Amino acid sequence: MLTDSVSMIPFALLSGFLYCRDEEVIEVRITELAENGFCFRTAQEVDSIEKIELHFYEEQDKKFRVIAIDHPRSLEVSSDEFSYTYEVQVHGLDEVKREQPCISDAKSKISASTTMYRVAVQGLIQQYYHYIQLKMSGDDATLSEVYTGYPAHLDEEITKNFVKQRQAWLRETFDMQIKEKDTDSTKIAGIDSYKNLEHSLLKDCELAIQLDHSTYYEKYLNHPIADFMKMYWEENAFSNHWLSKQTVTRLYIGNEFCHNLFPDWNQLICMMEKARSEGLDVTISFTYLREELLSQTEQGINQLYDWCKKMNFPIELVINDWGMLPLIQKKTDLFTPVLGVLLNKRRKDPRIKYKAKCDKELEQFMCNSLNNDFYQEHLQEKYGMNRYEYESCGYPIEIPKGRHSLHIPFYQTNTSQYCPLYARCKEGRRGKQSFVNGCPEYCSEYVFSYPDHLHMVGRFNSLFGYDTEILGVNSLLPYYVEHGIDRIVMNFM
Amino acid sequence: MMKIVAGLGSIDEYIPYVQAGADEFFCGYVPASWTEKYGTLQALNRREVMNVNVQLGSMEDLKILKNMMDCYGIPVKLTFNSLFYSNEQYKEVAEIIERCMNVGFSTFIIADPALIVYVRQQGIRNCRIHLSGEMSEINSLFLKNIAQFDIERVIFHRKNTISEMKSCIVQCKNQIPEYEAFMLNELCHFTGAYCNSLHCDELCHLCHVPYELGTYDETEQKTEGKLVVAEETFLEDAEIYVTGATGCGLCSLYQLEQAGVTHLKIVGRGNYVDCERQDIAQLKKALNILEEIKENRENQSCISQMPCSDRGYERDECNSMRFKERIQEELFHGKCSKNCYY
Repeated sequence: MLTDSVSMIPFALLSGFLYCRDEEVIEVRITELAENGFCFRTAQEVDSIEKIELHFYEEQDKKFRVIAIDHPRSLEVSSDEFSYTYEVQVHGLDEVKREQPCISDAKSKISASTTMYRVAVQGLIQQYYHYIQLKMSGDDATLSEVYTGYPAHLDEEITKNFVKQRQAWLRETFDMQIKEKDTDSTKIAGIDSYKNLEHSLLKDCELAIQLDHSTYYEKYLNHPIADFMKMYWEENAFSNHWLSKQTVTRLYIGNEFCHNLFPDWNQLICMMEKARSEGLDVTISFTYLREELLSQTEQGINQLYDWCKKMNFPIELVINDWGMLPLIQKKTDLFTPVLGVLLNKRRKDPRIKYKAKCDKELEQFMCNSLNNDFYQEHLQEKYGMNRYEYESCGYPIEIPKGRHSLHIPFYQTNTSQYCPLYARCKEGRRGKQSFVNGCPEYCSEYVFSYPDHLHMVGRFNSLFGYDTEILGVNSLLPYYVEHGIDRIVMNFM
Repeated sequence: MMKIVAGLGSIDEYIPYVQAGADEFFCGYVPASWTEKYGTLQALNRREVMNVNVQLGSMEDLKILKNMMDCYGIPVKLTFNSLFYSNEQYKEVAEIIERCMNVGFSTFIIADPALIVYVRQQGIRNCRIHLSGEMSEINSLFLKNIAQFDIERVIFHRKNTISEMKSCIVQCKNQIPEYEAFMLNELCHFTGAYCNSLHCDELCHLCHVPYELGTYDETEQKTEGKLVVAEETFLEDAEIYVTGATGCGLCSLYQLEQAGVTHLKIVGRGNYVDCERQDIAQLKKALNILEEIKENRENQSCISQMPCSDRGYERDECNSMRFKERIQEELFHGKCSKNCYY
């Protein structure tokens, strides 16, 4: 009989493997755990177990400790029409150990006693109960603080004016840049060597800006590009940064995240006419494609294509919905599809540094589906897509071979097709969302403000993070330019 | 009748949920080897936690579940619905899928288009694919395109209108036979396919971080008067069971069936077993009311005892209203959460 056992500890914290005489390895669920033994269940009767391995998760080291039990004395305790449950007694193994080691640490290969098993059980149960206790208290912030060092006390500091908040973030960036001249602040392996290459590397790199809402559409239409850019850098408190001295050669027009912020089709043509006359290249950013907006979008695409044909003006289209591709299938002489941010899936969260604390953990985020040859080939052969839109998002990204774009310094983390800001402003509840068509653009005045230390904002129908390092650490942009980025797209929200 | 698809957090929930009326299940399976290699930093599906029983973690449990399926005849599909994988993971996921198929599971919920491409390129035979509700935007053009990969079912994401679903179904029914819509629980504030933030044990979901309504700048407010200035209200965690407290589409069942939806999803992996059982039972009850309404629609008068046409309604519209009224009366008893999906 097991004493003071705990049932159904989550499998991710504790798993079991049976090693049978016929060399079969059976992955089992540990259904009960106690200091004097444990239970597991199988689908069929087993009678030839030579060894059982128990894998205990140790939160502190974020590693699994493996305890192996050789020649276990298992006892079937119950069965039904679907399964067999076995109990393994662990107490008393010290006596057996005199003849042969019964318990060993499988990874370190050190023979051990029953004590080793008991310590592992005590540790796991203590750790599990600690988590449950914190979770049940309902205080997410405390739980985060305990487990990750997340500074929950700073959550109360919220600047409720986005422009001011953004200015403060940019100041932090500029301070970082100054400090970095004397010290190596970047913690990303291999990137330091790019620090001294400075800005000369960017000479072959295109600089673009994103016009993604009506205020910018109107301002651009009403000002020559030189005046507009001066205004743009000043408004965004960026005039002193070296990047603002580079020439912008391309406009991204449209919003990748909200269908209501795409310009009116006639306004779009006007902006394109102006861009063409000013010698700028154009990329049109589309977002997801709602079924209700299919025919409207198709008509707009045709209108756009006719104009491009008449002007002999090829453009790029940022695709954020696979349904867009059939609409431009026969128009690729003038339209080049580019894979958008919403389809370039990646783990993005301003708190990622708390979750992944070391370089090795951060490295796990570097790649995604686009780093695979089979998928790159599929996108190229099937859709003619060679350029992918990336965002700098607080950790290094491995850019695949090719010529790709990097959006800085903001990155999307969450988007809703039913706008949370609209719901908050219209209905008083962020969760009371519905499909919005014909929006009064509450986002021209309101945002969701988040704790200052998180560097994030609820803008449009989305949440965005601000990458604190991309403009502050001198080696980052040259690193990306050397590794497949040939275009930088500025967006200050 | 539309089928009820319920989430399993463990195999121990299978029998109680079958008894409550579930017609089909979905659950996650994460081998220990995956957990040990990738932890929750790179999860196999969208339940990215270690400290909660939200999915299966052993092949032997899968075999036991298969024994149950053989006995009760209620199928289970497995979710491999991370938004993306990377590098060698595609090979690893395909191998896991093949191992699951070898013990009798044939249907998989996938959200990553690259995984669908990979699975088909590898020629994994008889693997049925359901498009996850976490897949990118669902529209008929996309569905017609992805149908080439032999898709058995589309799970519409939460933020679809019924008319959009209907349009997709009408246009794609010949290529994709089944359509599933979300019915109960977890009405997220953001669209799953575009939710890239962490879902882990240690940190709350990013959408739950404290926030306030702020201004873009201190400029004059142009939309003054349109803004609802009341403080936002939040639902407290219910201590007692309330149907659809965190998201509900029950009132829309009549319209969903008219639209061609064939399956209804109850989100619930990791929920309290008793709550999930009640969810299934409530949905079953709602479907029975729907059947009664449909059976009587030819010979029963409207709510007002007047013919629909005299009151300016089409018959379906009238039946839909009648259905909603009965749901409010017989299921909610005046305690509707008003957290409507549709």
